Amino acid sequence: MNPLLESFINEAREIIETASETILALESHPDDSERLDELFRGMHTLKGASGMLENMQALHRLVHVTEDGLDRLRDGEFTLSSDYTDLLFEVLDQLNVWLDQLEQDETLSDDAPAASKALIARLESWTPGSGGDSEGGSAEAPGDDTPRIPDWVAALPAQWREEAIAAATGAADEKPVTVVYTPGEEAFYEGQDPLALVAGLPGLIGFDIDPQSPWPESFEMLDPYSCLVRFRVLAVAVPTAITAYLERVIEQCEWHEIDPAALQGGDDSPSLESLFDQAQAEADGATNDDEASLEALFDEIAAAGDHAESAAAPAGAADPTPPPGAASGDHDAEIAALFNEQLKILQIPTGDEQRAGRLQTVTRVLHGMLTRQGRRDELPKLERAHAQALKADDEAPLVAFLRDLPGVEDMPDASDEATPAASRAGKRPSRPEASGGSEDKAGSTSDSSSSDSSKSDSSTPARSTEESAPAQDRRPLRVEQHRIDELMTLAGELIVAKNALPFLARRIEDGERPDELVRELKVNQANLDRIASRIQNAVMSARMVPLSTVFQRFPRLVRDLSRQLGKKIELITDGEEAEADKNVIGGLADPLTHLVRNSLDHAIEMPEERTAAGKPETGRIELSARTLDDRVVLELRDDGRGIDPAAIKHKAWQKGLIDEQRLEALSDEEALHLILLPGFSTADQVSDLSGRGVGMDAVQDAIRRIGGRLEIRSTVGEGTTMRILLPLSMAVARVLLVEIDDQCYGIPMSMIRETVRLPRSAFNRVKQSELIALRDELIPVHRSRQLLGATPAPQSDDEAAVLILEVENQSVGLVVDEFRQGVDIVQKPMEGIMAQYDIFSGSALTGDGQVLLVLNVPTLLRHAATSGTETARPAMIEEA
Amino acid sequence: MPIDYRKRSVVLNGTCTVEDAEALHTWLIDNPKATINLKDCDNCHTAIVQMILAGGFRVSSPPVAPVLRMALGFSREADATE
Repeated sequence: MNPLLESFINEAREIIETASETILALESHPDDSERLDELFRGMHTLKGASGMLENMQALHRLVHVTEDGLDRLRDGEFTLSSDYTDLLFEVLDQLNVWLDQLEQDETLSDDAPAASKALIARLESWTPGSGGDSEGGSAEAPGDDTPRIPDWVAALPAQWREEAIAAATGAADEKPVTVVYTPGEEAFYEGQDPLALVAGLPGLIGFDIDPQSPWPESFEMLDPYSCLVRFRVLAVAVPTAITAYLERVIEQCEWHEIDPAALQGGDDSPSLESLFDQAQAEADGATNDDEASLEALFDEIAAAGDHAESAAAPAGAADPTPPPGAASGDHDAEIAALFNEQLKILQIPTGDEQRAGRLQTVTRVLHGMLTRQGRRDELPKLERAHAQALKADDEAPLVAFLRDLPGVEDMPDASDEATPAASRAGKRPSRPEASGGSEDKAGSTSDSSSSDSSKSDSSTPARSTEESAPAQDRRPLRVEQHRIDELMTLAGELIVAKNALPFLARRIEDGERPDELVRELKVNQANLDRIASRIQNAVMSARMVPLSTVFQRFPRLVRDLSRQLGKKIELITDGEEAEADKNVIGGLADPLTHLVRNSLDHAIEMPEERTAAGKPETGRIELSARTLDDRVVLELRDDGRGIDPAAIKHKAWQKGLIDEQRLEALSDEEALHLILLPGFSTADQVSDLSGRGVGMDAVQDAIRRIGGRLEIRSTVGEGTTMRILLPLSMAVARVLLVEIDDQCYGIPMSMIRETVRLPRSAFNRVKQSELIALRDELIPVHRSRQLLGATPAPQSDDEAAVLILEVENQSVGLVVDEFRQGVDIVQKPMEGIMAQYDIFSGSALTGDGQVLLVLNVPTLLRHAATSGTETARPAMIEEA
Repeated sequence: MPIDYRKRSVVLNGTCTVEDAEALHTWLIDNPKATINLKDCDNCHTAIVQMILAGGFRVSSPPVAPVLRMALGFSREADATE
């Protein structure tokens, strides 16, 4: 990516983040002029920076008008209301969307000017009658996309404008450019002469000088050494030549390319007043037009949203009761990925002669997949679509059929069949490139594996985590300088330590006494070991990111949602300075957002209800973080209505997630954790909890993926506390090595409660499952060999090695062949073909160069439970 | 000497730098009704131009140099009268 654009994106994101905090603060203290100034400065910087870049007019204009609005706010023309705050947030959201686009495609999308205009119209029409006084206003013809010219340019002498037009038509790459150069007050002290600088500007046509702020009241008060003027310049030149020339003062310049045609407008020399009148009239017209188009846009978005929901609903509803003959949930995800692949194939542009063959192939593949899935009822529809497609010699009918299938993505486009397939397909290839060159195929496998572990079609947070991960990885990481300096020192030490080795090698060659050499070698090794572990610590600490990066999004979320829901809610955050590894923080955002939404949406009652219950009208949500040993504890506490365990139990039983026996045996605390079961959360559910079709199971999965654990405590009528325990870092994990069928596997230490050796007599068989009694506790036991599909161990009377694990808040025994030692490993996620085996959470290299597979015990046990036969996938071990 | 202070007017010659600004400022404070002659002035530092604009002084002879004409708004006036 163009480094200028990259730094612009990063800077803009920071500005927007700060701006959003400032707006929130302003809403509660509208008179805080310092904050307002800060916000204004932020927008001003953003405007200046965006002016430097090409093809950024839509963004630039929007920021410009926003800045104008803030200026009016600063002048006290109106006061900041909640509605205006909403509007400002909409602007920030739009800017963020554009930044995402820029990051992906390096250019704004085609609809950017329309979106920009719509928001501008709303900003400008905020106070009636004040729309046209802003610089430039909407002085463009309605429906005309030519960049507008600022009023001051329109007021320039006609001779200059003619000169500019003539110069611009003469050379192909030279364009009329306007520069507003506002030198710093200190410019004279710094030895600058802004006038001389402007005079030397390449392609200068003309300029004027006016004061930055009104001149001092009396001439005596004028400080001759502070620069109080700004320059408005019209030039015709190659834009890069101008930016290069102004490089040293570029931050003080605002820079626009203008259309020569726009300059022409002044040819018939209308008076300045008539220009203003015209601008005013056009602005009024444009406002109305844009309002209408904005409404249409909203309708469209709403329609697209409805479509997406209705398409997602069947998927969610089908989930708890998969159709007979269908494979487990992960299989569904794979098939959904295949469907999406077919959709992509159809969208690739092709010649007429190849189309028939391709339609045939895709239909055959779909036929096979649907048959395998047991969805025979879809087959006639497929045949119809195929016939239509062949007849019309067009992919559209098949595309429509595919999009109607549950689990097939691309929903935003579903409402817009008119979009030419070719243009979509044409855009696709740029995406993988932007996300670090990984192929589309790799993307879809990792996507399906994420759905594997979540075992649910409606795992939206999980999916979005996967998608947002690469984007986050491109973001710069801020590291304090001393941390880098420390790494530098350590690198130096490492080199010194390494240099000792050739000497040792020579002494071995010379045949010195071995015991002496061994001693020296050990000293050397100890030295290297010390440096390695210090480097590791230094790198780890450089990767640490404060939790505030996640927390900062919540004030806005809480504000927006509570307004939307008509509730009064106060958010209190605490401990956001606690740090954790960047990957942990990155993976935390989505699940935590979901939890906060849940609290807002379902836990906190309406104000009347709260007053009736004798609680303060304003609900409280407390989000706190603290470091505890080597973990970060996050707590989300609300004082809402709480979760009723009895209702949960009943619901789970109704849904067939637990049987009657378990219903009786469950303690209240255990009952609360039932909401984490996949399939518990669907649209129709206990009113206390989320009803977005995105389950708590997805939240738990996302937390588990970053190595965390979720605990729930709740008292009916008093509130709920969600507690997330997170590792500080996920890079280095401690695992226990165990031997299973002559193979070594790792099991995360965090899961192991204890290791015991038990005689055969301790195992009792109850129906299908085995149990052990350990200190008056009955614990179900699984045999690892069986789980992995290895040959069962020969019967022996020796004591068996049993790991007692804590999985999903339950104790489970796992019989292994032998325990080995505990080791620290650097765990890598499974890649390539291995990525589909979700029973392994990752792999690592051991000291002797062997590959160690780390078992994903919860998934392993879940596979055992779903298949019932206690064998995962027999082929797996050979392949591994 | 680029600046020639006379009784009721000041004449700027050649190139006027930022060093001349303070003296001119003081003089103009003492002679608020003075006129400024820029006919032979080729170059002016921003500080000087800024002072002439801020004080609203009458320019008895406009400059010839195009940059100075633009800076002091003469090219525009000329254009308007044309």
